[in-house]
Amino acid sequence: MTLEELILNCKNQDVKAQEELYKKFSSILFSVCLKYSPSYHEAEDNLQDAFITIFNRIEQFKGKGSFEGWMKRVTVNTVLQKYRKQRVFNLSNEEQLEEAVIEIENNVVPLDFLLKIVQELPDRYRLVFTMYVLDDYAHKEISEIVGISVGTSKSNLARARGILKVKVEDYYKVNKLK
Amino acid sequence: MKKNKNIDELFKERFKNFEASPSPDVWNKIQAKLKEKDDRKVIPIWYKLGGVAALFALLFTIGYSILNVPLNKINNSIVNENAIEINTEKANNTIVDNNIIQNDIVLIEDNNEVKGTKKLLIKKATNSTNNSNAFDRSETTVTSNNTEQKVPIKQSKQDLIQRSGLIIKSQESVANETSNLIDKSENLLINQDIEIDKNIEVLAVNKTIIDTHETSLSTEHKEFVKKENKKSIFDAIKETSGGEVVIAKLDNTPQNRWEVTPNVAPVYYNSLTEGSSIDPSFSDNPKNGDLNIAYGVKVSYNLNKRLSMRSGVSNVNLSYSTTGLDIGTGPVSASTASIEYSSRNDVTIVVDKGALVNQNPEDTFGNITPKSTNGEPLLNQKISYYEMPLELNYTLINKNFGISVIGGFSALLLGNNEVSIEAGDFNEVLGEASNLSSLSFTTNVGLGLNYSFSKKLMFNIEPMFKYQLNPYTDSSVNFKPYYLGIYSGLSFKF
Repeated sequence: MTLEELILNCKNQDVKAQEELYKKFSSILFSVCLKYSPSYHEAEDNLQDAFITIFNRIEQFKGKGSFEGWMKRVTVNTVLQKYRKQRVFNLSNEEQLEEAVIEIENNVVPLDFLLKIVQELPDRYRLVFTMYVLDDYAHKEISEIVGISVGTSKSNLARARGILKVKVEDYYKVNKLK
Repeated sequence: MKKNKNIDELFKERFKNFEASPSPDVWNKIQAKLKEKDDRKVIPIWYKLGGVAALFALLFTIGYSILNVPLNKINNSIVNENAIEINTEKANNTIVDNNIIQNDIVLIEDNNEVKGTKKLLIKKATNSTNNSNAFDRSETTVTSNNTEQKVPIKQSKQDLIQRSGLIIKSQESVANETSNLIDKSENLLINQDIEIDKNIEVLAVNKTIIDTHETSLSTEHKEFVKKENKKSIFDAIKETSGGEVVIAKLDNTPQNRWEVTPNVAPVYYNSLTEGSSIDPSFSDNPKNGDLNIAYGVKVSYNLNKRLSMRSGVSNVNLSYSTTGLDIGTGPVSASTASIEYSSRNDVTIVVDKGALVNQNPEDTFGNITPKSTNGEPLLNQKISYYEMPLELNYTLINKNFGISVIGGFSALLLGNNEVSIEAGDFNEVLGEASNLSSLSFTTNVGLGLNYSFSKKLMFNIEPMFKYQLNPYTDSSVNFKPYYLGIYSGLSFKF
């Protein structure tokens, strides 16, 4: 079955096609969910919600652009809806932020660890960091989607970097000590 | 700046080809949800149809009541026992005799031509007299003895309306020697010795109308007599001394159409079935409905003497408790899905009694540490709704003490809700139930008992049964809640 046929059958609520679509794209979309969610468990919940939204709204996909891109956007939106309302109370001046400078030793940090520390970020820091750094959104887009100002987006990003930097450095320290 | 990039690049590179497989369970859940949605689709269609039907019924009722108002007003017109004096050119006592006949009715309505108390309202909506001393109250037809004559009356009708405010509509009209004027509706008040200023005009019109007949209209102290079937009014008219103006009001026009009723009620909440809305595993656990309070205001509008329509807003608090449980602490993931915990860390988890003792360390219960309590754990669910009813009230008995039946629907907007656990002195709010519909509906039936202190004030008690149609977003929940309330309140009429 080609992707077009698959989409068409999904539009007709064909269960088999839905399952195939799920198999084909679940791991890509799950990675999206993992990056944007605070935990593995919530990422699974969000993946579930995202797929239900995808199946319910698949008729809205008119074949413009890539289907995968569309599904990713739906997924990101689903996840964002859940977390963007939660406020970050830790407000401080942008000027005070230190730069996230770090010496990197050839990718020795495991991906699992990086994912974990991203997930542990406060909701909005995580959203902004993932969108900007991992998914290449611009600050303006982020500000529109998340509903914050560009300044806040930048400041959140800097704070997220700061937190991540400390954690990566700690990781180095701990592992070197051992 | 360059170094700053490093942290971004570190993540970018490591996440470049990042993919991860979710557990197979996710697909099963998706499938279950999709199936559920299909099942649920059936209900909204019925709601929509039901809504449309209700809307039509409502519009029809309102429309009917509005259209009926003018007729009711007519009923308050003034009737006189004695005749109406109508001068005619020819001053005959013979009016139109069998000659004034038109295909259409005669409706002479004169609001402008009233002189003092001597009002003349000759009204023929759809009825007309067809012989002397009698009037026919039938709605639409009056047979005349006369041959029907087509007369170009439209023009003259217009003239009349414009000139004098007299409306002479003709369908069938009959007048006879005694020249009776007939009122269409139940009440007819006729003035004695009323002069119609414009009777000449009327005559003129009549003349035009009945151009083949050179007739004139005149009356001198002519008596109007009612038919037997109008006994009560007839009597009423008789009682009045000649020349006195009597105002008779129609009985079926409610005096006070509006009614405002602040009310309060104890409400009892329970389910018709055994299921549990919180967790299917609690289906067979003992459950107790609780008594709570509902309060609000109702506004009702009397469509007629017997039927009234009402709406309003009230706050309804409902709750019930489940027992036969054990509690423990564990991760949110092991908890009941229908409770949205406010915390993401370890939470208090409620399970069926005995489940913790027999727990298999492999399954999810393995994560739960039992919590000892000094009392039987009680799981409470509290729900508060804002209720907006749309109900019809049909009065069976309307004396000082009245009885009526009530039926209708309510829309319920979900307010606060919480699930809490109580065991001895331990008391904790777990969170909100995640499966409650934010908008749901009930069907309502009830009995209204009331006692009138005065025309303006009434005390009433209404036992109502309300059955919730779609309380849960999850249609698989086998919990069919209803609530019973005994609403009491004071009605102010105006």
